[in-house]
Amino acid sequence: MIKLKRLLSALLCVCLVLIGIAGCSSGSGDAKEEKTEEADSEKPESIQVMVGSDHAPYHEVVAERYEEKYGIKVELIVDAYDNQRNKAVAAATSGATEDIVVVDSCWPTEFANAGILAPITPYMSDELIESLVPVALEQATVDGEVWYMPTVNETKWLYYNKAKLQEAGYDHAPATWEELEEMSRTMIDKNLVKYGISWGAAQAEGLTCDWAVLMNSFGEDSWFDESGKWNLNSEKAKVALDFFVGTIKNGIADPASITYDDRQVLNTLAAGDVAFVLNWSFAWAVLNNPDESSVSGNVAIGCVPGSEKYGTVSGSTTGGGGYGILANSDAKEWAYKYLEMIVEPEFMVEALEITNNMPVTAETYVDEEVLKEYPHLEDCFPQYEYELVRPLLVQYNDWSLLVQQNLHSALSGASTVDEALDNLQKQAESQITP
Amino acid sequence: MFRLRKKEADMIKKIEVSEARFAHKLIAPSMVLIFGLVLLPLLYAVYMTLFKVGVSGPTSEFLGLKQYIRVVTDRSFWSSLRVTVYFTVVSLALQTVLGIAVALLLNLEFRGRGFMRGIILAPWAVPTIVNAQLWGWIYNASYGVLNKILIKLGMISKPIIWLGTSSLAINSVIAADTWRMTPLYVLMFLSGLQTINGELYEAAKVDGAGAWRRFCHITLPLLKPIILVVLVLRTMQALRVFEIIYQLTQGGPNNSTMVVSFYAYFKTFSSLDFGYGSTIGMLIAVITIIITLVYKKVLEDKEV
Repeated sequence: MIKLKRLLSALLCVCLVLIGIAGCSSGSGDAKEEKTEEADSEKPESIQVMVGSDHAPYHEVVAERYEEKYGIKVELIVDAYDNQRNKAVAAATSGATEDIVVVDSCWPTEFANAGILAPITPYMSDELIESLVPVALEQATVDGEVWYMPTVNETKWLYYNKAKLQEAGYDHAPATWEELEEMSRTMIDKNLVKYGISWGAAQAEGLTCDWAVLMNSFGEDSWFDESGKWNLNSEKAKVALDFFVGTIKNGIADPASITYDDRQVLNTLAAGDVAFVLNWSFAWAVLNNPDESSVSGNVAIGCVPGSEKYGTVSGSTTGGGGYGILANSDAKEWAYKYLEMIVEPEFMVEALEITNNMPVTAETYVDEEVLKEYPHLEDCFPQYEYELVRPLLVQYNDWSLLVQQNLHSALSGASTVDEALDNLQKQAESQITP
Repeated sequence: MFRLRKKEADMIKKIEVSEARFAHKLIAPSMVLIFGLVLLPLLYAVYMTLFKVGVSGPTSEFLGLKQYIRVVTDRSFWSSLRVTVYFTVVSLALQTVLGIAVALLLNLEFRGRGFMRGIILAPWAVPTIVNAQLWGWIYNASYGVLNKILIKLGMISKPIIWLGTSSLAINSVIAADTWRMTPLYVLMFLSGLQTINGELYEAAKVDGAGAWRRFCHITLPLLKPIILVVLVLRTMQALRVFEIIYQLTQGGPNNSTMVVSFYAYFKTFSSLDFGYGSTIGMLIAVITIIITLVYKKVLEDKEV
């Protein structure tokens, strides 16, 4: 018994020593930084890249070329996109050996502040910066530093069923929300669709995105007022939310919208039950795949409508993201060369072909050969001019959760538009640092 | 003669000692694993609740009980705890009643009983995440089978948005959890029912006791030990409910399904507040231990 106690005590001591070692190793960041600087110029045998499974096919192409050019092996660690955030955090906290991680457009401030990422600004040439679509770079920039290489130029577009619109006597997409409402009513009355539009309004990030789209298209172009304080319950914001809630109440929108996420909302357009949805670029491939969509070939893409009341042309929000270099990478310089290669126009076209990835290089949108092959790019490009980037915050997820809770409360009828937005403003002021 | 006995005794003692050593050597690897995988993370989690912890690692800044105070003064934490308690109480009550009812049915003699006993376990074999996905489709307001059936039966005139309003969403989640977990109760209660001597029922019948009295005075008291064991097990699980919420509602609508585990996950991995998440974890652990002790006391008091 005494010996068993001794054994247990010895094991406990080992554990405590291990804790101590773990604590010391985590705390010795400076020493590691020095080592990293030294090692940076050394050519590694391999670099490790974490990629979302959707984008893995074109990374395989880039990795092959990278290996040929630099003689460095690229180890791709593929997992679902939804797992990438936790993987990046785990890699940063555990001192893992990964070099490159996925960075969503919502994460750069938080990741930069937490010391997860190393800025890539020092490596970027002016030529490369100029070649990128400005808004893609804008959302990767925090405090003057670029924290990841944008590789997916996402925004929310309006997808619509052009065949249904033609049947209803319309030969164009709605230019304003008011027109969309009128078109929807006509199509519902003619039994062409069950509802005009579906929203991705479940309590999830998609709701924050749709809200940003609506705010912007109703003329709100900032989350903050002139003094830098939160501006979430402005008159335009209230009109936008009133419209949003109204579509659900008056039957223009599918009432089940409050349970749909970005992916589920596509089912309603794919089934031919609605004429309009807002969505990202991946929807193009889904909606035009005859195995998944009954409206394949009849779907068009264009700018989100503006507001007749406020005289706006359009409005949307950016998304997507790219790839960043972990602060604890020992091969930052070589990791950057990989990032640079991804955004070569040649690979951007390859990515467009393989995974329907929206290019971040401006020249791709005017390349005649590319446009011949992908004519919808011409309809997509104008949207980039009308964007409201979601706020780049350290507490982004906390802020987004507040937005989702309050908007959902209004959409499900639990509170009024005024109550929801005033409450949001109050909560943001007290909990979130702008 | 005496010396011989002493020698034998010494030898036996030596063998016992060497056997004990051998046993220690055998269990040592498991002990190291348990310490490394259970105790070490546990101690580290406690450490994270007391010191400031960033993504890049812990710092030497001692916070004392500040994190605990932050958590207990956080309205969202209490709200998530209320949701968790509601989920636990309602789901346990529903599943216990259903479990006993189905177990009683399956304890009767009828043709195909063996097949029914086998098939009843099928939902339990479905992984939680798959179950959540499955129910996500069943509850889909526009295309879900539940609304289709109810409309066909004339019970509703327009689709119900099952996961769209606060009161419906949490109860819909409980129903989905009940579908999967009831077979576990059935299995346990059925095994309990089979240990009850049939003569007790015969004697009660002779004394003129009806089915309900036989159930209240024989079945239920004799099932009590197994009911308590199931309740202990399931309370621990229900308090940690996560996957079904993650997949079905993400805590919405309007935080009506934001259980404490999901809230801890959100604070830890979305807000990157590791100390706060660990503190919530610690508080859940304390609550779970208290509930376990209460159950233990009940078990001891009832001498079951």
